[in-house]
Amino acid sequence: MDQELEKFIASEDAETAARLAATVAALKAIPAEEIPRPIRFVSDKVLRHAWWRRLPVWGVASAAMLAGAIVSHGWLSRLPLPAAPLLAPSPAVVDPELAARLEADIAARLTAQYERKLEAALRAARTEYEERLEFERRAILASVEENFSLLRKQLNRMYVASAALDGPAAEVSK
Amino acid sequence: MIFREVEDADLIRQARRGDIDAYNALIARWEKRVYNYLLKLVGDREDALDLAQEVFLKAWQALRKLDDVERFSPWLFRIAHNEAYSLLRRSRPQREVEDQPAGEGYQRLYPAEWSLAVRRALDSLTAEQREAVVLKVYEGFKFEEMAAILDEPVSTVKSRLYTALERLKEVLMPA
Repeated sequence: MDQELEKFIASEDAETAARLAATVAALKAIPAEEIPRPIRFVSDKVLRHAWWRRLPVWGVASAAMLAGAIVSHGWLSRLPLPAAPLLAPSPAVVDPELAARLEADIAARLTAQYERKLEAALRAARTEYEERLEFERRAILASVEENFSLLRKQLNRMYVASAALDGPAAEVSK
Repeated sequence: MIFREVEDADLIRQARRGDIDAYNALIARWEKRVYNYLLKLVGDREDALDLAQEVFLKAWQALRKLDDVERFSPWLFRIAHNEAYSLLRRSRPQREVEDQPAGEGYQRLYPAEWSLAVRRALDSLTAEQREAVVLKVYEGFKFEEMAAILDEPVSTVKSRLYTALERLKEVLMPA
């Protein structure tokens, strides 16, 4: 029996539960009828979905997007690139000699500016490197001094211990 | 090679792509249940058969609107419910006369005396109570699915079923 139904029946007292169970059994005793005529559809224009409804929607959408992207990319890449360098002078307006001098001057200034920036950056890097080296050198020196001090203390302790052992023995031998 | 039983979900997916053979296979699986459900609601074989055909046609047309293919059966029975009530509303005056407890119609369907007594007991219920009994006892739907089919809250469905069962118990199994 259906679990939900069983739960409901079980919630009643024994006598009522028995009557309810018998009622459900009586209801279920009515057999299901066979369908007089099986229902079947035939392939007919009325029943056919429109062609676009028969396509797998996501597959078609993604394929269409991909195709669109390929076509638009191909079309855009055929267009001539914009040929307009910023410093290109118009020959009709600017004198060639003046333009050459202007370009040389700008190039020289740009180079000088670049060199200055490079030099400053190198200087800063070098200073930083030297500072780091100095710091490391001092750290190593401090560490060495500390170790040396420790060794010296241990040596002194050994001398003291040795003197304590040798003292009485020396007196006995005398 | 791995063989597996073709599930309803597979048939639904194929039918959605316009495969009528797949849909016919799906109908073959469900037509008996839908027919019997409709028969118990409308009480007439021809009407039940006509309605069943209409139900499967509407289901075919709306198959792409089915959100979750795993919930095909409540969805299908919801269509059947709507169709049955549409017919009952159209022919209410005539059916109210036919649905008298002493009606002879059911004798033709279930000749056995016991079946007749059960049928009469079912007829004594309201249409809503009878449908709740059919969905639960005969079709085995869960309360949640019944609520979806009937478009009612689960609490209403439960109350309706329990009242119906109490009433049937008093008629069929008197103390």
